[in-house]
Parts: sequence; C-alpha cells; structure tokens
Amino acid sequence: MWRDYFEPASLENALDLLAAHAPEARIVAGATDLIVEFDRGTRAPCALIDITRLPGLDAITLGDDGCVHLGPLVTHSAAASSELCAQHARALVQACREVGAPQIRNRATIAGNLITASPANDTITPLMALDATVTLRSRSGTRTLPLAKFYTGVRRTLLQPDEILIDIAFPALGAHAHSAYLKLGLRRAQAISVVNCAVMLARNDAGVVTDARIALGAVAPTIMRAYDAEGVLLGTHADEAAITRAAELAGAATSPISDVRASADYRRDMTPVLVRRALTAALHNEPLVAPAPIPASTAQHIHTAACAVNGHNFAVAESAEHKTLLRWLREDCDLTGTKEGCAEGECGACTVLLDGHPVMACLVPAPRARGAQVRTIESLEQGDALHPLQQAFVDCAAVQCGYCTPGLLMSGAALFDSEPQPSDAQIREAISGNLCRCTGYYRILEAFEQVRGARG
Amino acid sequence: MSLGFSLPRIDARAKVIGAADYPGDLHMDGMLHARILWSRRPHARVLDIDLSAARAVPGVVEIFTGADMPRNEYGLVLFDSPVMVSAMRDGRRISTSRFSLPHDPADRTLAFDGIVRHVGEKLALIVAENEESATRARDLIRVTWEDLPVLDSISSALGTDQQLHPHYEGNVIQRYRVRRGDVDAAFAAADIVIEDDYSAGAQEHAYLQPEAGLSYIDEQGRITIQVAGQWTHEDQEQIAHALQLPLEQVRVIYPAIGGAFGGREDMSVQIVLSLATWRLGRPVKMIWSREESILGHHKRHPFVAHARLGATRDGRIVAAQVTMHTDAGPYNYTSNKVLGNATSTCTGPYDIPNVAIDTAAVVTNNPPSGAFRGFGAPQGLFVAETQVNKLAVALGMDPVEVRRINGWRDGTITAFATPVPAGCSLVKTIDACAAETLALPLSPTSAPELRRGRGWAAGHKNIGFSFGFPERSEATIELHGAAEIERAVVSLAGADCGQGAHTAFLQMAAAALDLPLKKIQLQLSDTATSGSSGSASASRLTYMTAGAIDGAAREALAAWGREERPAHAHFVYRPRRTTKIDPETGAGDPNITYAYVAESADVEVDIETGHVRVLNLICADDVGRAVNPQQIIGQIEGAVVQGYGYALLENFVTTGGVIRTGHLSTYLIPSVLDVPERMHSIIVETPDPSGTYGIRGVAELPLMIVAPAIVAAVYDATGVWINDLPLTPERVARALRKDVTHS
Repeated sequence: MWRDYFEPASLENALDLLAAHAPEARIVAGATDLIVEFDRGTRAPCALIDITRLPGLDAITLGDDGCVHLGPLVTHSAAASSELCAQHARALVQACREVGAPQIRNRATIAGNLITASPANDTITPLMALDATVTLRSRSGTRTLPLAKFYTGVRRTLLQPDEILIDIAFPALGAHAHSAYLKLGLRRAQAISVVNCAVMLARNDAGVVTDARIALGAVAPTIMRAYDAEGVLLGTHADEAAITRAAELAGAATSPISDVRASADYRRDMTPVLVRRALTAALHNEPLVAPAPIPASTAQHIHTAACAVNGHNFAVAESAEHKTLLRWLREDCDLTGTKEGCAEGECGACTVLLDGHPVMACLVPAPRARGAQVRTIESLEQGDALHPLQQAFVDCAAVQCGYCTPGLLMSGAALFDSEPQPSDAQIREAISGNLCRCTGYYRILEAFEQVRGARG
Repeated sequence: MSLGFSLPRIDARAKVIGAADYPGDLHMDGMLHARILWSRRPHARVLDIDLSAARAVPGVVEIFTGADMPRNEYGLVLFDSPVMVSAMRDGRRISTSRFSLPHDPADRTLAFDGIVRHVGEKLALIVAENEESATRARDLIRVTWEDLPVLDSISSALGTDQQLHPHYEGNVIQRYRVRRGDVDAAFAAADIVIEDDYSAGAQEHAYLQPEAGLSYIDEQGRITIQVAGQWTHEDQEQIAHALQLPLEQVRVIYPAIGGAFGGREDMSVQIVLSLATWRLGRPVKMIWSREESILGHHKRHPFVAHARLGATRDGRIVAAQVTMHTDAGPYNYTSNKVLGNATSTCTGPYDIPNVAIDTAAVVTNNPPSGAFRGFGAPQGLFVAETQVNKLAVALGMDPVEVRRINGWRDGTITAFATPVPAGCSLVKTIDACAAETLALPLSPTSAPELRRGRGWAAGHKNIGFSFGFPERSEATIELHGAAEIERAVVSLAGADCGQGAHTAFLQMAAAALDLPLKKIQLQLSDTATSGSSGSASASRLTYMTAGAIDGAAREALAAWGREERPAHAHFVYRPRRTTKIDPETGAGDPNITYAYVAESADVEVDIETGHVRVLNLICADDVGRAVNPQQIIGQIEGAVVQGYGYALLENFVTTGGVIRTGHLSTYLIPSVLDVPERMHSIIVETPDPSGTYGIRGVAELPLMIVAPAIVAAVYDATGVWINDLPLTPERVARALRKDVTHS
C-alpha cells in the first residue's frame, strides 16, 4: 500500500509537500484508482497527499468567462446531479453516471479520472468534446492547457510530479448547442468502455452546423478527437448523409487494440455506430432521466484523530495508517458485518456510509476516516427494531447467502434517507454497485418496493 | 403441516444485522495468519523451493511445503492431485522443514508430484504472526522451475504424445459410450437431419465470499476447521486422508457460507490449514483475496461438441448422435461425474430410438474444471435443446409441439435402455411454461436497429449422485420431555450455502415429528454432532435429507412410544440404488430420478452492436413438492440469472493456461441492471414417487436451459444461430454481419 499519508491544511501546504516528496508522491482524493494499483503491485508504494479536506475545491460554477469550472474535488456524483452541468454539459452528466458504481462516483473525482488517463476513461471523452482546459499549479507557477493536448500516451499526461490540477473549465453550451455521450460496455453497470463517444453540435437559427466536436474513447492510446469527421458536419444541416459520412470518418481515424474485452475489429466497427447514435441524440437533445439523489454530506472539515463509527469514537491509530477503511473496521474496530468480496470496488459488499455517502470501504484509506462519521451495518438496527429495509429483506426473502446483504442494505438505507419515494430506476441505480450472486436481485427489488410502499 | 409454506429463513435476521459470522469473520486469541504461494505457471517442473530468505522475515513461524504432507494427495473421486506440489529431484522430494517426512519409495504420490500442471497449484503455506509478514515472506520464496510445454486446449491435448498426468493415458480421464438402435440406418431414413458444432467456455462461480478458514485444536484435542464447504464429512475425510490421521481426530464445522454453487465442493483451505494447526498446535486463519479465489478453485467445464439429429416430416425424432469433449484441466476433481451427467443430458429428455453418444473428459493445463450448478447438464442441454430448436425451424413446426411429440413420458425407454423413472412430468412442465408464455405475446419494437424474438427450451436433471454411487444421508433425533414432547433436537450436517437448506430442514423435521416449529432445535453442520448428510449439490440435499429426517422421526417417535426418555434415533437413508452404465453400450440405470424444467425467453437484439437484452423470462420447474415456496422462487430466480450470465455475459478467458479474467472487474457477473426485465417463476408440483413427501429438487434446474432458450430467441429475432457461448456482443455482431437477414 502507500507509504506516508499526509493531510495538508492548505493548497500551498499540499504544493510544498508535493515538491518535497516528488517524484514519489501522489495527490489523492477519491483514491479509487490508486488503492487498486497499490494492491495489485502495479504502482510502487509512494506518499499520499490527501486534499479532500481542503475547503472550496469542490465547487461547480459558471464563471464570468462564460465557462463552467469544476474544482479538483468535484466528484462524479456531484457533476452527475449538477443543474449547471445538465444545462451546459449534458454529455458530461451522462458520462459521470456511467463511471464505476454509485459508491465509486461518490468518492472518485473528475480530476482524478482525467489524471489516471486511461484510454477508456469515461469523463475525458465528454470534456474533450466540450473543449475543456485544465489548469495545473506548482510552486513555480500556474499553467492552463487544452485537454486535447494534455495526453501523451497510454496513462501518460503532461502533469509534472510537482503539479496539482486545480481547475477544469469548458465553455458553457448555449441554447443552440447540445452534447451527448454514449458508451458501449459489456455490462449495463460498472463496465469499462469497449468504445465511448461524446459529441457537441452547435447550430444556428437556420439549423446549419456552426461547430462540431467528436471525441472517442478506448479506440486509441489516448482519448482522441475525430477532426476530419467534425469537419464534414460544418455547414450542413446534420442530415443523415452528413452524419453517416462523419461516422465513417470517425471510424477510419481510430487505431484500437484488442484486449480481454473486445477485439480491435469490433472497436473499429462500433465507432461509426456510436458516433451516428451520439450525433442523433445530440440533435434531438434527448432529456436526462433523474438520477438517484445523493444524500446530503455530513462532512465536517475538522481534524481530529478519532473517527465516529456508528456514533462511537475510534482512534485511527498510526499502526492503521496503511490500512483501508474496510480492514480497519474489521480488524481494529471488530466490526465484521462489513464484508470484503473483491478489494477493488467492484462488488459493493464493503459498502459503508462515509459522512452520509455510500462508499466502497475497500477503496478508502483508513486515515481519511479521521474526523469523519462512518456508519456500518451494525448501526441500522434501532434497539431491537430492524430498519424497515432490514425487515423487508427478511420478509421478501432478499437474503440467501447473505454476504452481499450488509452492503446492499447500506446502499439502500442511504437512498431512503434522501428519498423516501425513489422511482424504480432510482432504486436500481442505487444498488447497481452491489453484486449479488444468489438471488438474481428480484426479491431485493421487492424489498425496496415494500419499504417504499409502506412510506407512501 | 409445516411443509408448503414460506417460513422466513431462520438465518435471515443474523444476516441483515451483520451478525452472521462467515469463516473470514472468525477470530481466536493467539491465532496465526497464513498465505499461499501459488504456482502461477501452467506447466513446469519444480526443481527447488528456497525458503531461506522467507524464513528470515520477522514474524514468520513456519513454512510448509508438499514435503511436509504425510500423504500428499487429495481428490473427491480419485486421489490424483498433490495438496501442495513439492520440489523433486531424481524422484525424491526435497525436505524443506523439520516436519518434512522421510523419503518413501513406495509412496504413490511421487508419481504425480513435482510438477505444476495449472496456474492455481499450491507450492507453500506461509504461517506467520500477522498477515503482512506472511505476505512478505511469500514474496521472498525463490522457486527454481523448468517450464514444460503447455497444452491449453482439448485439441492440443488430444493431438499429442505428451501425457500430462501419469494416470491418464492419451490425456483422457474418462470416456462414455452409449449405443441404442442403429443410428446410421435411422439417419439414412430420416426426412430431416440437423447437424452442427457447439462450444462453450468456462464459467466462474464468483460466490461473493472468497475462500477462508480458521483451524484450531478443540477442547477434545481434535484438529478443527471452520470453513465454507458443501459437505462437512467429505472435507473431514480428505483432511484425515492427507494427514494420515484417524477420522475422529478431525472435525469440520461450517459457519455461515457465502455462496457455493459447486465451487466449494473441492478442497481449498481445508487441508493446508489443518496441517499447520496439527504441526504448530495453534489457531491459524487464512482468507483468500478475490484473485486467489478465482485462481484457486475449479470452473465449469468448457466443451466442444458435434451433434446430429434426425426426424421424420411429422416431427418424430428418430436418431441422435453427439460427440462431446470436455476440458477437465489437469486433475479429475469431479470431471468423470460431470461427464456422466453431460452424457445423460446431451440428447435431451426425448424418446429417441436410435442414439450414439461418445464423450470424453480431456486433461489440459487449463484451470481445473469441476462441479458448478448443473454439473454437465448446462453443456449437454445446450447441445440437445439447440438441436431440437433447429429441428422445429426446419420442420416449420412449433418448438413446443416438437417437444410434446417427443418428450419423455412414464414408460419411455431412455438412451440407457432403461425406462424413465416413474413420475415423469416433462410435458406437464412444458405446458405450464407455454400457457404462461402464450398469454403474453411478444411486443413489437419500432426502433430500426432492434429485433425481438422468443425462444424455448426444456430439460431434466438427475437428483443425487448417480452411476452407482452409494447415496446415503443421516439424521439423528432426540426427543425430550415427560408426558409430551417438549423439545426435539435434530442433528444434520447438510450445508446451507445460501439456498435455505436449514430452514427447509426445520420445516421437514416439524412435519415428520408433527411438532410446532418452536419445539425443534437444529444442531447443524458439525462432524462432531451429526452423521453425514452427503453433499449440498446435485439438487439432492432436500430430497435426501427428507428421507433421513423422515426415517429418524419414525424411529424416534417409536422409541418415544416405548417410553424411552429422551427418545433417541439415528437413521441412515438410502435411496434406490443406481448402476454404472455398460462401457460399450451405455445400458444401465444410472439415475435415481429426475426433476423437469421448461423455459421461454423473449429477447431484444441490437443488430448493430450485438447487445442482447432479455425482456421476459418464464421458468416452470417441477420440484415435486415445494417445502418452502419462497425459497424455491429464490432458487429459480438466482439460477436463471446465473444461466443468463453463462449465456450472455460471463466470459472466462485464458491464454496458454493463464487466466486473463482474474478479477471481478474483468470477469463480469450480472448486476441489477442486467437481469431479465421480467422474470416469472412457476412451481409445478408432481410428487415424485421415489422421494419422501414427493420431493424432487430444484437448485440446478432453472440454470441449465437459459442459454438454449436465449440462443433460440436470438435466432427468432435475427435469423442467425449462434452455437458458441457466451453470446458476447462482439460474437453476436460478428455472426449477424456474416449473415444478416433484415426481416
């Protein structure tokens, strides 16, 4: 795992720490990629500088410059439920909702996604189609780069070891410009892109395309723009012929590889399909479905050594600094109700609430819990009375082997905390990051419906 | 009567409050922590295992290798696998610790030891005061290898002189041959012949709880292990065999089990943890990571098959021929048994006068294959049912009608030249599914890139171990009280892997004793308190345990009537005997009885991307007698979704014997957003005349035929047959591009 774990008190402090420990230190926020890399041994242990307690870095604002600005701590969940983004960057909202599981989206930041720089990452594609820039700061200065120039290869960027990404900005789309994001994966939730595509189309009052951008993911060493394809759309009415031509050119511009998910041929063949569908979606400006609500955060930016777990204070000892929150809960707090099923944020068995938000405890550094409130399965019961969702799980036979049950209940409890009457789609989305191998999910859904009905 | 109602499962409350302890949740003061060094090479000779640097790591207590194993072999059916592969030079094991045993030239395990034959072989068990030390030490062990040529496919293993395992000549573990009638003449006379090739890859169990265990010495001095398995007494036997200890010196207890599905039928942590506790006298705990779990247990057998099916124009099937090879990996595990079941299902539950079947389980360097829900039937029935669906198309006949014409009935003579066990309810089950399905016509879609279609399949599953296996199941009952029975203590070993077995046991015991549920006290899953129930597999546990409980209850009540206090009874239930099949003709009576299933699937295919969405899945299962309908529905729904995964999503990839889908991020199982949008379960209850209370079984049925139903629905939607599983979007898109029909 990581070596030292720092919690700087200010951005300047973070920059100093980074400079002092460069090149073997990493700024960390969600840590959802880093912990997996440490665990697999694909990243050598290094120092972590956790900036998640710094105030003011999680804002989504519309600036005087006409740009939407995302702070470095904006999570995928925050962007997915942002009105500003829905209005001016629909493709980004759509992409954010496709990243990992809800528990991952609650922790993982868009900035982190941009820096991981996987050619299959979901949010780079829409931000490239939105012509985003990134602003990097080090002790020696600040620079702003177009995102399209930020990537130099597979998982490689121009970010220097002493730099922090402090701002993501893109021009807010006006009333005549629309964007759309589409992804092909092997599963409907928690899937890594086989191909993804984001488009932006701006048209004048006559319906003539005045600006077009097409970005493609997972079909080249970096996320790419399909400039030729964009060009053929300009000056057209984005009619079927123009869209078909653009789609063909986009496909021809790709240089995909074969991997365990798909062959290069399939990726090449699917690119035009996706581009055509995304352009059509942008033209029609198809509305978004309401996402599952995000519970209000109970986070307090205070530094104390203790973590309030289920209302009781537990010290995160120095000896536990290198543990994940999951290991710390199980081994140091003796709270074994929270289960480990994969240790990579895929199964959701370790779901707990961190300051009110469902998170994968296997991907949270234990020291991040200092000063935070954590709720585990052991807290759901009130006295001898089961939580209504617990009772519904018993009544509806939503429990079989039971190993996924604590995680599902925590995801569900958070959902009902923020929305007593969730829609069917919101229920499914809320538990899309919790895998169950026994039930087929139908009795679990019935249990959610029972609680919703009782509260209706 | 406590049968036939949906008692909430008895462990649900503990599970929803997080209080149910799984093996990884157990803790004992002073316990040590263990890790495994895995081979991670598919085929290599182990020349040396150098432990010197590893032993120097502070906190390391001991490192065990195969040289420390009194009898370095295990296997549920055949002893053919080393527990840990030893380093061997000149036919002698290299001693690695103070516990290493002296060389014994008569040791039969020397014949297969010294070579790793798949990536998940164990080489060493590192035991330390904490997990970090064990991990550090593991990474410092230096192994000297000599890599050997890797046979990574059925065809490469059959087309070589290189023999992978000394026991298996020609790289074949088991063959079955079935001959009935005259297939050549029948095919020559048939109006229609369907002929095709089929295949499927491996499937990973992916139970949510990775393997874990805690071993210790109990208060009576027994080596005790708490672990998640499927058969306490078989675990006990395997441990005692490898450690050369008397059975009664080993105790196996199952706490809560986080899913199994056949994947816990073979040994994981049992033997090695017991070895460590036996030698060190201290509690030892080990938890595998997900990656170790996928590396460390077997998979569903990949297979290739060639099949022919002949029929007359009026829809009578007259001949079936199937050649099928399964990829067993390097050791038997349960491959010979799985092959038997694939053989008994690959021509379907149909009355066919002329049959020729040739099957073989082939040894390769791929990960071992073994038990997985369905146990050969998903492979066999994928071939059988797809052939029948193609026949219906060729005949221009309703696929349900073709099944009604040819389906087994009481008195039908099977391919094994003996009658179907009495109580055959196949056609009734098909009709139940058809009635429900036809009430809901397939709705059209307007999107130009989408096509919708409907497919059908049916199947049969044998209940219990077959082919002459001496099936038995034990129960002990003690009745306490004076004038009336106040309390009944019922001791049973059967494993509740999540299927709800223990709740069913309670209901059956209450019924057999005619007592209220609250007077029944279960004593469960502990070899020290119960006789063997046999395995929680083969859809057998409810059927066999019912027999045991019923017998014990009769005897206990008789003793009670004789004024014995407490009244005690121990009963061993034995169902009717089965036989092996004749090696030349396949004639025999291999299966006790069957349960029957029928399904329909409505799908929507995106003809551009190849994505298949299941809109509606209807599954009718004849379970004989539903002890707990709610739990049966849970079994049906869960099994259908596993079958959905097998059909469409779960793509276990190996290259040169090396696993490329070793995590849940690469081996994808269905999420809540993937499953069929509407799922309807129909419980059919045709009492089985051989089963206690009429019970059959259910756990495997619904999974077996999801794939052929979906494949037929994809054909109905697109006009293209896909003969290879899983139907990944890429495979579907490629097939459609080859042969697009714009219907």
